[in-house]
Amino acid sequence: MIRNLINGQLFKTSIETVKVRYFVVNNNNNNNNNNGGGEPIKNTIIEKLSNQFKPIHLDVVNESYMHSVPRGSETHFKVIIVSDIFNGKSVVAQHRLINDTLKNEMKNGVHALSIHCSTPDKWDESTISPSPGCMGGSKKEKQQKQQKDEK
Amino acid sequence: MNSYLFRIGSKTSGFLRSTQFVRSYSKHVKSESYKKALEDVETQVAESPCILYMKGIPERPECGFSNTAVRILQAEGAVFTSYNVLKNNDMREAVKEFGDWPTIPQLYVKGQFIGGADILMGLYKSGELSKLLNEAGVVKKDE
Repeated sequence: MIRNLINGQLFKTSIETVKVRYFVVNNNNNNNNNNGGGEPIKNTIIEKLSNQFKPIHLDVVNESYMHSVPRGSETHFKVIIVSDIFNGKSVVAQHRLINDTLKNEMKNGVHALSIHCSTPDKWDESTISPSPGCMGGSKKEKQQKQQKDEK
Repeated sequence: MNSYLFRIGSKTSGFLRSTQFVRSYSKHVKSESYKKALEDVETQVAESPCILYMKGIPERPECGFSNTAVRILQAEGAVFTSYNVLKNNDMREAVKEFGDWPTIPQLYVKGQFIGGADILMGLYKSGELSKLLNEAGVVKKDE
């Protein structure tokens, strides 16, 4: 905790004060992952899912860049997870387990969580469909403007 | 109001310590309009054979995931009502709490929660959605 604070202050610049504070808060329960990397929330998600589900396959993709949020945001994620724990559970139940595990993240900034979960015997990577692009906010306006300009 | 506060508290007591949680949710805990919204969701789900909570309207979805859900339902020929959560923030949060599901879109058929965009896609691909909608009788009949 103290080390986190010190690190946080070292990184602190006048512009990034808010960001750094967030980073420090997020690393309170995440001491092993104190690499100061650009994706603290992603690291937390990976760690929580790994601990909880002992997955044989886990992929967490930050898809925020596809959406109408500032560059470098951690708001939209896709989780691909294969674990024995899902055996005999309905898909809704499987998703609820994951949502519960990441409840804290969902309340604090993560806005979209696309979940693809499977049991080891049903796992087939080829069936994972790509996430849809953004259709709201400024991205849409930009796209429309671009199309107009091209005409 | 107190009973509602208690519900939130008992359900997520661990998060109440987080100021961010309190900040983003306190307005809903306090407001009567949020309680009303929760009741509205309950009524809508009970009364609509097939209802999709989404961002935007089917003709103009304002989120890629909502768009996916709408396209799937249209491909199945489902007769569904939709509710645009972007026009009412209380409803947007109430829907999430009601279904204990953190994201939009959400589909309910005959009062049963079916899932969000990822689950709908899975059910659509496996053919289970078609079966489910047909059994519920919410599919357009061919003339």
